[in-house]
Amino acid sequence: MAAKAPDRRRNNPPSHGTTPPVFLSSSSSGAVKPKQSSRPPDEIRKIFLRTGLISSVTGSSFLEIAPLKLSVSVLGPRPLPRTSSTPFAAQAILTTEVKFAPFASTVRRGYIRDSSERDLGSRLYQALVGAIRRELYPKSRIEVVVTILDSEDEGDDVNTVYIEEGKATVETKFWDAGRSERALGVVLAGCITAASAALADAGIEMFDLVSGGVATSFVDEANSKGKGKGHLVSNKLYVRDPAIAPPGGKTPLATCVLGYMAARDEISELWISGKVGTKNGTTEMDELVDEAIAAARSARGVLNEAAKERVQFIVDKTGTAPPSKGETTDVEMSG
Amino acid sequence: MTSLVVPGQPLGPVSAYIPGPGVHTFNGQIVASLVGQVVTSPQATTSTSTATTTTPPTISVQKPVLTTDEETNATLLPEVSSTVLCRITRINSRQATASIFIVNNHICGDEFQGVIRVQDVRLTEVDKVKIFNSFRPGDIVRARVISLGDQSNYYLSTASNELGVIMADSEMGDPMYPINWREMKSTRTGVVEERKVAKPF
Repeated sequence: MAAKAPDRRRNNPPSHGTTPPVFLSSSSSGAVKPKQSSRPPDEIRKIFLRTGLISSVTGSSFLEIAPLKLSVSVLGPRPLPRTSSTPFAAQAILTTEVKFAPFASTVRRGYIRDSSERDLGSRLYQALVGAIRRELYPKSRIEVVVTILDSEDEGDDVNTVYIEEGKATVETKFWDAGRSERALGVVLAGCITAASAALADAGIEMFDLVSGGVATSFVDEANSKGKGKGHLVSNKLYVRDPAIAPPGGKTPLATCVLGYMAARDEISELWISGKVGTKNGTTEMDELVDEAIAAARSARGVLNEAAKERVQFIVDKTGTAPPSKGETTDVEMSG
Repeated sequence: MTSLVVPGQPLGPVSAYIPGPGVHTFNGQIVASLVGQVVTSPQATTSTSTATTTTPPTISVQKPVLTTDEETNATLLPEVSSTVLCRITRINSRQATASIFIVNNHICGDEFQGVIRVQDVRLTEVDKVKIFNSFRPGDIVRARVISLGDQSNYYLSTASNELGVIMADSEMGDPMYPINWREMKSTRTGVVEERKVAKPF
């Protein structure tokens, strides 16, 4: 008798039996507690950024910042779709898309884009659209597709609940206040930096590279509990590129994410969430933005080197110029 | 020794150079807009009978490419007056629709759609032109972009001696060779068909 044809419509189980995985109990190991980083608050985490990894698209990049891993593909400039709904465009039409892989956040995500992904996509659009010389590419579209492979974000269900509840005064559940903003902020800053590298790799002309920066202001937990205005403003701690776990004994106040063009000193995208006030004539917002700019400046150094790296490789390989440096060098970050 | 620049990097004052491709000007500075090598053309001195004028050198940024994919350029777009090679995809009495695949001797990453309207087929006796006697689907045509056109089509013209069909198959599917400026002959059957033929170089 002939063997039964395999069922092609379903994911078939293995033909042999399986045993359920047995995990070590987590209580015995110290893995539950997130490791506190020892870096100073004015230093961003080390960035790994490479370009030109995907050969089938015009430009691509891959970025890693501690747990965050994402890849960016740039397609185009390609002709507009044949549908008559798109009118004549004298400038290139930019489309951005941010997608978390289903396994990217601690809570599993769906395959369809959810609200936070659409939100990140439109913020990324805002950050990049002003930097691209779109007038050079009429009647075409440039697509930026970001796939987030790993992040500290907890998924849209968690974020939505928190955003709906709105204020930091709401008793939060197992996550602490501003947690999702910090996680999404780090993701967005990474998206902006990596997308700039991918656009540069694609050879699309830009006014300047855009680098992303993120900073969070913290206060002492004791101060945040008291509702008095007087002592709330004292001793703020600004952390650049914050990890999801807040520094010990601190409560986050506000998070600022921005896209920054360092050579022109322009901010192309600004996103602040949380509580900011004024003190001594200087607004806390300005201080927070300055911290985020400083973080973006640090990221720009890595971005510059990453953008040059592949071109240098090509130059060395084709021998169009004398090779300047031997191997690629990593850029050490300093605040 | 050429060094690499990144977008946003200033290259020099506007007064010292003429900006070429790959750069833009900002705040009186010439700024790179690509990652690549800075190329400066030597400054040209043109002396006329009355005065000697010195044009400043042209500065541009070029992105080097690997030799393997030197011919393809993914960021290439047809512009007005660029010469293109296209394949005729469909025809009707008013226009021939074509798919552009080579722009200025570079293979483009995506094919662009263009149309050759009946009045743009040839330079003289425009009102006697019949599209069916000029192009057939499948012909390879050398044409010039005359307009960016509407949202979907580039407008092309073959109204020049060196523009027109450069490769065509007969109705039987045999390759044809040009015998004069408006006729091509099948290599196998000897049947003559009408085309708007490009002048061979």
